[in-house]
Amino acid sequence: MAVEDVGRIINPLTLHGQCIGAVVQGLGGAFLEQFLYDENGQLLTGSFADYLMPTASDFPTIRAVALEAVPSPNNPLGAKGAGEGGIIPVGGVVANAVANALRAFRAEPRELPLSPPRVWQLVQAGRR
Amino acid sequence: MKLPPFEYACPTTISEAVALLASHDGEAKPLAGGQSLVPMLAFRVAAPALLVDLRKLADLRQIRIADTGVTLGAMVRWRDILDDARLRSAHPLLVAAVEHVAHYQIRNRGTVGGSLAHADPAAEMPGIVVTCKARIAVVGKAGERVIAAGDFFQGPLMTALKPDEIITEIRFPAWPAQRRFGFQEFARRRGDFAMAAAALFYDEDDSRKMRNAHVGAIGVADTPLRLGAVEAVLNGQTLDEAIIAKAEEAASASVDPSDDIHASGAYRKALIGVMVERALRDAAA
Repeated sequence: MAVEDVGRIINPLTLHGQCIGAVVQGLGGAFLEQFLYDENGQLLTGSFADYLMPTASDFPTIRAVALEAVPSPNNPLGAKGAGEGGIIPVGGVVANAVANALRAFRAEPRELPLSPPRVWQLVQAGRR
Repeated sequence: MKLPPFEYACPTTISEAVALLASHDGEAKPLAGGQSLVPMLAFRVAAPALLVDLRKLADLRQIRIADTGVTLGAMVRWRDILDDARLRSAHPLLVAAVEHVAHYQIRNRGTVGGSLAHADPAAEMPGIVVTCKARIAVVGKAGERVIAAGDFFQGPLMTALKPDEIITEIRFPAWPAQRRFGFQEFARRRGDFAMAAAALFYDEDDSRKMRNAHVGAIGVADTPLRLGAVEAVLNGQTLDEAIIAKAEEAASASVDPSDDIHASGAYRKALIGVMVERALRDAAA
């Protein structure tokens, strides 16, 4: 669930879709998407076969809520930039959740994406 | 992402298709469902001079079920397997594996023969034919021959097929109704290529001891593997927690996957053990 205060909603439908999309983009960065380069600077994840973009079926339903709690004082409509908000906290939220779930292994994720091999590595390091 | 230029032919008989392939001295490729070959053309990994489209060879689309086993024509699509209710009892392991093949659109076009000829080590079908000791019938200008699945795969994207040969049929041995089986796959997203997968089955004797165990591993080597060491752990035993743990350990010890951009070899080694463990639990359930 994502909540953001946008000051004043102008088009609720497009705003709602943007908020959900932003969270999914954040989840993509947290779990899937990675630019990998070799020592010559050649991009190794250069196609969608290797660069895993999140799609509609990859994540559960996300609820996005937009509030009009505090209008912007800087323009006559009171509107603020909106839509991107959902992407910002996702990496930190997910990494903290993983740290909490793996506290027995003293896991502290410091790199995204949290791919299965990387999480497995955190567990292995904690077992030593 | 545009394809390189190529000639195109759409023969109506198998002999015509073989003649076309033979006439181009290794520069022609059969086109089945196109779900691997066409992306390879787009990536310019392959650039054959001639594509021989097999779509009009209706003989290759049949699914035959007999007491001697299931026979799939090479042009049978994943969708045909999932839609054929008979296969759920005639070969449930095949059906379980096909449910993991790629995505909806790809399952509607991709074919069993195409998957075998492509020989991706992380694909389900090559793993299933190796696990089940299926036989692969091919035809070329020298006539028909039948290749054991274990001899068919020679490396990543490399098979025993000669340039003028077309796969015609995949023949699975009979599947006893009481046989127990499991298929477990782990992929980053549903439909992605497996990071590792395990396919297995065994029969039980009157005292519930396992017999005839077949255990296959996908995505952990250059070709699909049979894990003989795991089969040895299972045969003659009753499945319990201790045997499952031993099987998991034997599976991990049997493979030596290399590192790639998606995972370390050590991760895949651990993962195949977990896949075997989960597949055994499915089989016992």
